[in-house]
Amino acid sequence: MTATGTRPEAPTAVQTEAASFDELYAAHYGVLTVQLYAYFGDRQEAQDIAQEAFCRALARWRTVSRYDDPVAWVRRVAWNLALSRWRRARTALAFLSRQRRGDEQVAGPSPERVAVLAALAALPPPQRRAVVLRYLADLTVPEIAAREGVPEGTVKSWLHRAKATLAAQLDPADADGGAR
Amino acid sequence: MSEHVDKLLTDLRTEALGEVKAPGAEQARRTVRRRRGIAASAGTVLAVTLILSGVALAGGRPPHDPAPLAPTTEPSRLPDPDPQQLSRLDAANRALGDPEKQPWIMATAGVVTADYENHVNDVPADDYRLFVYCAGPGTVDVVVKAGDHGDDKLAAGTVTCSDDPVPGQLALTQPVDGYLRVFLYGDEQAAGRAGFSFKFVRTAEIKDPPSRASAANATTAAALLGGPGVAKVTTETDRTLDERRPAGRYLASFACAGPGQLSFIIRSARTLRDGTVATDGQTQTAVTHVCTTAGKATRDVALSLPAGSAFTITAEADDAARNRAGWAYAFRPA
Repeated sequence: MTATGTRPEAPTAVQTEAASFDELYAAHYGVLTVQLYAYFGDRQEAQDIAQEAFCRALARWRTVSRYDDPVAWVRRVAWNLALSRWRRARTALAFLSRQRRGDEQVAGPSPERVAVLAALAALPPPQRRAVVLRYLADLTVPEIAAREGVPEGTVKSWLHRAKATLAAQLDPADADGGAR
Repeated sequence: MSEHVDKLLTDLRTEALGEVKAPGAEQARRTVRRRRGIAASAGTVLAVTLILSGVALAGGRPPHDPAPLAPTTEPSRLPDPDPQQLSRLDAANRALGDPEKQPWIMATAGVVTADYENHVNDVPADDYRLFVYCAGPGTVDVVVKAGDHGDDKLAAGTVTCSDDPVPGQLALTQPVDGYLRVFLYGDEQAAGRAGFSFKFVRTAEIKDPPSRASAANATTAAALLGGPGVAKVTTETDRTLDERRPAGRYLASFACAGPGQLSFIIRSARTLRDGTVATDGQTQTAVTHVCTTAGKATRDVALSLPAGSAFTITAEADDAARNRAGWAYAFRPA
């Protein structure tokens, strides 16, 4: 193990690393959590997964901080984590979410929120991911295509179909007219 | 998208953001420190004080998924390792080396248990070498499996523990971006007594230091060739070397000593305007040379070098020769 107290530059480097992680965390934890929440519909689960993704980033922060876009790394880890956990736990989630504590101070979701989450949940997973990444994570179509490993045209198709479905379910004006 | 749906999604984002309770960056630090025991002191390579999974499993608990813990709850109290465990854990941890000198994509350390499992998230598709160190008594079986479930084994082997850990090395290929799982099974002597550490290093980034054996064998090989202008080369990595010479005819000779075999490819390549030797030169000769303990030299190979060119020598060691054999070469005017 390296005795580091003798390296005068080390404390500054560590302070900088700590500060940059804190800044990344402060700027993106909430946004990432909301994306996961919109996809999975469980805010506590989304918070747990986002926190775990940031923990994993912190554990290898020297490497991650050198990436061009550390947020993209954290987001990818969070989604991978969420999807794998989701697969394992999807049958238990409904029960677990009812058993969670610590949300007492938060008012229940509004009817509109419930409707949006329900409509999102009804979308096929690729379409749901595309909507979340496009409209809640502000990723571009090419970025989503690269992330999903599909052509841009496929992403556009997912978004188009998702828009039509969401509009039909959520927009009274579209109830009989389809997507605009 | 309709304005109404747009507004609903915007409202969802705004309202949910206001409800999110961030556990905080400091909580993330506590989790990481607790989970891996990594001391966050300045410039510390990796100071492990306690590894959650290793120690927690030492008492015979079943293997668990080290996946997310509820961040809103305080960590549960774990038993502290005893001084001997800590000492061995520290020895295994130190054996990982300096990541500034040899980058790794992931490393951890802990107390050996009978049944340990670590999920490594987000490993890019690439070739890797897993270095496993074990300090203390006994042996540890190592299995690497692909993905987050299933039994698709990528590599397996056994590491012998010792007071001065020598790494067990497993080469593996991660076929697609994603999970890996590492399983460590300590035998009766190692479980609860030995300390382990492991690190994943990209094969392309491996910087093995030359071993003493390779350096000694390179000296033996150089002595076989004799005379001035003999270059000694170790085999911790494959090499491509440039030899700048005036145009003319040369005799090239090679020698190697130690186990395994070495392949040499000699090319004559143009020297570019900035002095760089091109890498796409024409192959002049290729020699595969079986090494011996006492050392063995090739016959001289006649080569001609055009004006404005240089020789490049590429040497590749097989697994038996890697970082054990040593070689030497000489170019002399014909």
